Amino acid sequence: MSASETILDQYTALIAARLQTQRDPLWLRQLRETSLQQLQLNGLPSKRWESWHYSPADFWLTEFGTQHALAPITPDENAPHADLDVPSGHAIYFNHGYLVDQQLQNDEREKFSLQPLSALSEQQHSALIDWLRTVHHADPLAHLVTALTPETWVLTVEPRARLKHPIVISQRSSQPGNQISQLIVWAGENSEATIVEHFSAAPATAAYLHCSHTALKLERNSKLIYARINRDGAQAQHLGVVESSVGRDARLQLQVLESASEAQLKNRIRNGIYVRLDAPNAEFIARGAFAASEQQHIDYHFTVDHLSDHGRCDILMQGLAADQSRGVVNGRIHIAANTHHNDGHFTTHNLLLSDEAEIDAKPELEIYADEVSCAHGATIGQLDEEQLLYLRTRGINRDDAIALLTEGFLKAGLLDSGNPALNDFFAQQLLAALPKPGV
Amino acid sequence: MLKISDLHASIDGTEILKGLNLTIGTGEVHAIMGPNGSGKSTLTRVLSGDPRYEVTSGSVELDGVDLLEKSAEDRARAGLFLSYQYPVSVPGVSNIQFLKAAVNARRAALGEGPLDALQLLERAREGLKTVNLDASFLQRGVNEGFSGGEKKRNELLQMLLLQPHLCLLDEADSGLDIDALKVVGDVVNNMRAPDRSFLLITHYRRLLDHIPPDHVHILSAGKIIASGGIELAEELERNGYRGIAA
Repeated sequence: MSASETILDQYTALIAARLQTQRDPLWLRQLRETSLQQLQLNGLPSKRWESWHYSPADFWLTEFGTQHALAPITPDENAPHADLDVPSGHAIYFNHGYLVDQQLQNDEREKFSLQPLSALSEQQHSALIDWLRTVHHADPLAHLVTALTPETWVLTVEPRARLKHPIVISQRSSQPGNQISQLIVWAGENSEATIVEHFSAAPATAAYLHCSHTALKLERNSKLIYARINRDGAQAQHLGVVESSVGRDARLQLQVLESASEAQLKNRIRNGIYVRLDAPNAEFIARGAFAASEQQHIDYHFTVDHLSDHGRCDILMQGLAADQSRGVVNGRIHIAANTHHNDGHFTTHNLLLSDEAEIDAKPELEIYADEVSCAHGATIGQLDEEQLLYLRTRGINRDDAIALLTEGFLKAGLLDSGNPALNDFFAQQLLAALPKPGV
Repeated sequence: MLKISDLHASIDGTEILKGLNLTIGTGEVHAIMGPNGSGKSTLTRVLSGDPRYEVTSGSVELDGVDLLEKSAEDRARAGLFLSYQYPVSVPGVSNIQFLKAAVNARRAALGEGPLDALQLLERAREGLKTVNLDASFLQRGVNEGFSGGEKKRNELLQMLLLQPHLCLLDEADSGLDIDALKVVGDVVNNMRAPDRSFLLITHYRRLLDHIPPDHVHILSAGKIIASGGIELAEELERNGYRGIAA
C-alpha cells in the first residue's frame, strides 16, 4: 500500500467515526457520505494530476500525517483574536474552523445571518440544499472537507439586502495540528455584500495543516466581493478550495492575496479556485497578488467554466518569488459548447527576484464554442534595469528602488472594491511584510 | 564645477566618447550640439552613472570630487540631475510616492530632514502649476500613459523639486510644441543661480532662443570640435555640421 493510500485509509476511518458520532440531519449525513464515496473513488490528488503537478496534496498530507495526528483539533477558545485593522465592518472569528466570537454592526443584523449547515431546514432552504446535493466538486479536497469538517457554517445574505459594511471572517490557527473549515456563502437575489476571509496564525504557531473549503452561491443579480487573504503561519500547510456558482446577471469579484506573515517562512499554500458561470450575463472578475519568499510555496489554480451565454471572466494575477521560494499560477478558462458571446481573459505577470526562485505559470483556454472573445498570457521576468536606473538617478538607492518597483508591481493585482478604506486594507495586507523604502 | 578631461567611454565594446574635454563653471549654462550619433546622449548617460557605459580612461570631477567613483544614486544625491531624452515609465509607482523618495534622499544628502506628506504635496502642487500639469499627475504611475510632452514636463517637475546643483537636459525640447518649449525655457531661466549650472543637449537653436547659453560646443565623433558663444549655433544653422567640421 502506498503512503498516499495509507493516508486516505486514515482519513476514511476518521470520517467513518465522525459519521457515527455526529448527529446530522439525514440529508446532511447523505451529503457527507457521498463526499466520502467520491474521495475513496478518486483518491487524493497527486503529482500525476496535471492540475496538482506542482503541489502534490497526497505528498503534503502524507508528510504531515507521519508526524501529526490527522483528526481535526478542537478550538482554542482562549486564543486572542487576530489583530486585523479592518475598516468598520462585521467581524466573525473562527479558531481551528470553529466559531468562537462575533462582533456585528447593529444596523445590518437583519440583512444577513450565520448558522450551522445542520440547522438548515430541508423545506425552508431547499434551494441551497438542492444545490449542495447536485454541485459537482471538481476538487477532491472539497469532498475531504465536506465529509470530515466538525462544523459547516452558512452565511446567508438576504435577498435585496445591500450591506454597507464588509463582513470579515477571521480563520485563525493558534495550535499545531489538523484544522478543517468550511463556509458556505449564499448571496440572495439582488443582494450586495463584501466578504473578507482572512487566514492567519498566532505568532510562532508550530506546524499545522489547514484544509479549507469556501462555497459561494450567487443568486440572480447578486453582487458579491469575496476577498481571500492568506497570511498563514510560517510552517503551515494550507490546502484551500473556493467554489462558486454565479447566477444570471450576478457578479463575483474575487481578491486573492498572499504575503509573508512572519520570518523563517517555509509554508505551502495552495488555493484551488473553481467558478461556474451558470446562467446568462454572469460575471467573474479576479485580481490577485502574492509575494513568495524564503522557502514558501504558493500555488493559485483557477478553473472557470462558461456554461451559458454572455458570460464575462477577467483574471489578473501578479506574482513575485524571492529567495528559494516557488510560485505557481495555473488554470483554465473553459467555454462550453453551444454557448454564445462569452468573454474570457486570463493574464498573469510574475517577477523573479533571485536565481533560486521559481515561477510556473500556465493560463490556458479551452474553447468549444464560436463567437467568443478570449485571451490568455503569462510573463515571467526580472526587475526592469532601466526602471531601476531611472529611480537611482533620482538619488533612490538600489534597495529602496527595488522596494518601490516590487510594491508597484504587486499593487496591479489589487481589486478596486469601490470602498477606499477596504482598498487600503487590501494594500496593507499585501504590502505590510515587504521591505519599505528607507528614504 | 564640472571638469571633464580626456574622457573615453564605450558601450558593448564600441567606443563612443573619444577624448572629450569640457569645463563648466559655477552658474554657467552650456549647450552641446552635434549630429546624430556624435555621443551627446552617451555623455549625459556616462555623467549620470549608467552602468552599461564603460569609462575606459579620463576623469570627471564635480566640485573637485571624482564623479566616476560614485554610484548613480550618489551622483544624484550630490546634486547631479539628468532630464532624460526618453523618460522611463514606472507603472504602479505613483508620481508622488516617487517624488517623496527622491526628494527625501536628496534632502538627507544635504543634511536636511525629510519633508512630511503635506509639505511635499504643497511643493509638488506648486511645481505642477509651473510646468502646467494638473494635480492628477501626482497619483498616476510615473510617466505611465503620459504623452511625450507630459513626460518632459514631469522631468522638469522633478528638477524643480530636487533643486539640483548641475542639471543635464538631454533634448528637453524634442517633441515639444511652442508653449511647452516656453515652459522649459521659463523653468530653466527661473532656476538659473550662481551655484547652479546647466548643460543643454539639443539639435536646434530654437531652445537656445529661450535659454541663452554662456557657451556653445559642437560634439562630433566623441569629441568637442568647436566651442564658442551663441554665434556658433547661428553658424551651425547657416552651414550645418559639415561647415563647422571644415
